[in-house]
Amino acid sequence: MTYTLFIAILAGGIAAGSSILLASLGEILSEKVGVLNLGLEGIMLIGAVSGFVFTIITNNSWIGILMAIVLSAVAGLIFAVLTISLHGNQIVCGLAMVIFGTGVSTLIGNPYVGTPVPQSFDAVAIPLLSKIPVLGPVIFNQDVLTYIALILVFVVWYFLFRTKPGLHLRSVGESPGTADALGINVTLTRYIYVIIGSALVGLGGAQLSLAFTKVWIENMAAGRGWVAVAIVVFAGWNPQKALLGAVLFGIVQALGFRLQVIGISFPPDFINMLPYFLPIVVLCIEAAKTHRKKAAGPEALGVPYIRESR
Amino acid sequence: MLNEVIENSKAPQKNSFSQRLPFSIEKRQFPTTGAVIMWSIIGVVLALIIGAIFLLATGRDPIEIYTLTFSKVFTTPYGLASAANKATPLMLGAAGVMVAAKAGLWNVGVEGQFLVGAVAASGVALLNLNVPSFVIILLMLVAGFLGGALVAFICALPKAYLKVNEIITTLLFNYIVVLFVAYLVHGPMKGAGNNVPQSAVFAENSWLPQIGSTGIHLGFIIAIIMVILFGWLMRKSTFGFEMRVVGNNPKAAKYTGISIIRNILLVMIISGGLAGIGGMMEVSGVVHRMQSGIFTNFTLTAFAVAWLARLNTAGVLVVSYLLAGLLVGAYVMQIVGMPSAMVNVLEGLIIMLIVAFDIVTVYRIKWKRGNSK
Repeated sequence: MTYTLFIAILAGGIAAGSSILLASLGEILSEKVGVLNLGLEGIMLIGAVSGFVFTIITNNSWIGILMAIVLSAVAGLIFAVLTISLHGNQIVCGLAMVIFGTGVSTLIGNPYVGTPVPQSFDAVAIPLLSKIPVLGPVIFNQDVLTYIALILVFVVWYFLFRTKPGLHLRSVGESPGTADALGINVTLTRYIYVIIGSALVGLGGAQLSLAFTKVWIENMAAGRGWVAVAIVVFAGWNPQKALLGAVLFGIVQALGFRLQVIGISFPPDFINMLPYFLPIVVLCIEAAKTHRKKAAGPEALGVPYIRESR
Repeated sequence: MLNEVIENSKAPQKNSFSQRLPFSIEKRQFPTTGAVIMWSIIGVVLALIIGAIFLLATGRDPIEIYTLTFSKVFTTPYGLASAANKATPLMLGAAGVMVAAKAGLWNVGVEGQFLVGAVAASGVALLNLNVPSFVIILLMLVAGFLGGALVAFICALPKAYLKVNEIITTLLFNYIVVLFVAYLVHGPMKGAGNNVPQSAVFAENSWLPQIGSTGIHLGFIIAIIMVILFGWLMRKSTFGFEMRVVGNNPKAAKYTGISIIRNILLVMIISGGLAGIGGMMEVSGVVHRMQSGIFTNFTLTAFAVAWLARLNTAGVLVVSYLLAGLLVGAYVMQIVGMPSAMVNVLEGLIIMLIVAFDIVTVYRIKWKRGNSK
């Protein structure tokens, strides 16, 4: 009993954390290149609704995923134009994107509330690997999008810290002036990774509507975008630590759900608060540890690059 | 692209394209008020056009929806009064965002502060005290302020002492408070004999009185006065000056002996307190009981108001009334098929367009006279 509960909580934690993991990875790319994208919550909703609606229209969840990626990349493009080319305030633009995404997803998703999705991403057990005790049922019995998220952790880490384009990306985020002098196209680099980052965030949203809940609910991101922003800071812009943060969030969420199922008589609203408390507490602990030390964030984070005003 | 034009206009080479133009483009140090207002209006119109395309794409008639929304709200006494009541908490929330922003802080937790303010005021109202009405209302105002201030204070502590980003803490607290309110109205605050998760109706002596027969409650006037008062406080008083120094130049604040920690905590208390009073006014003036979802997306809407108003007191008053009208209109229009989410779409679009136009407002076109070259 305790063993199966334990496994269920861990596996549920990974499933619940995978949308946040994808969003965090997208945000890491965006912030590492120097652009603070606070629009995650809105972009996740755009990804969730477009994935869901296109799956229903085309009866093919892969086309749904594709459209989620494309449309959230378009949202990223709009954000990039505003912040990179027009030097708009990144915080204001990010919040505007949250407002827009919340509205537009509600508008588009409205007729589909309560509609079951015809084709969803269910858990697929990987042969042999899923037979490993503990690890098997926890990691190797997930939906395809969660597998993609887990693989992307290492892809993003390798790309950022072990490849030349990754080095260029980081140099643009740390010191765009120097990068420019070295012949790296700062504007183009920022555009590319803000857009790819947004696409990952949208994929996270699609995981939510197509694999996790399998229904469309208004405002279904429910703060996950903001939790992802918090996780990126907690993780020190490192993909592996973001994985840890996202799974931790997922486990707390799964724990609340399981406690309700086994009938612990604690007001469920308080258990549901935990996933939102957790990032705040973790950030405070992290900040207390690194107090008075230099922040680990990219040097030029949030600063628009204006060549002629250098 | 504009920058290139300017670069070229400075360049000495002859026969360049920009030199043959009858005008040149110059950069101003600050945009003029006229330019800001003009481009804001252009932004709003463009947003309405893009919004119309959205409505068309989802099979609705934009012209009918727009005209009906406008006429239902801005030409009927009931619509004008409803907009005023809706604008009341909104302008206080936006003023909260504005006050914090002047001190360099992003208070995006006004929804949580608004709700706790509403809860605290409801707590006072539900005590059914046997005292004159104005005493109860005064107590509710104080409770609302303290409730909102408490939430903001909790979020400000990590910022002040550990430099934890206040955007994250204030925003996540919205979700925590929404759940807390859900717990209260399902449990301890639930009215006796109620099947619905909401409190009992307040006794009438805790309702904000109406202004004559207008249908507008007194909170509207109090809110306008408070917004003007705190706007003035931030602009003209020593206290406001210290806040602005902390916001604009923390180093200078440090060297002149202004306590950054104290000011961060203080400004967040005021900011949250204003939002909390907004919550008090919504329950005391309109809803007359506590329930969930008394103002959905409050944070986003208040933020939109504050930024569309460019953090300007008069702007907050005007924009909050207009947006409130839009919200009331959207509510009425749901019958014709305009979901209230359309208001969010428009808010988002307007902010993005105005940000996009910001780069244009600082440039001016200078016509060349005669054959100068």
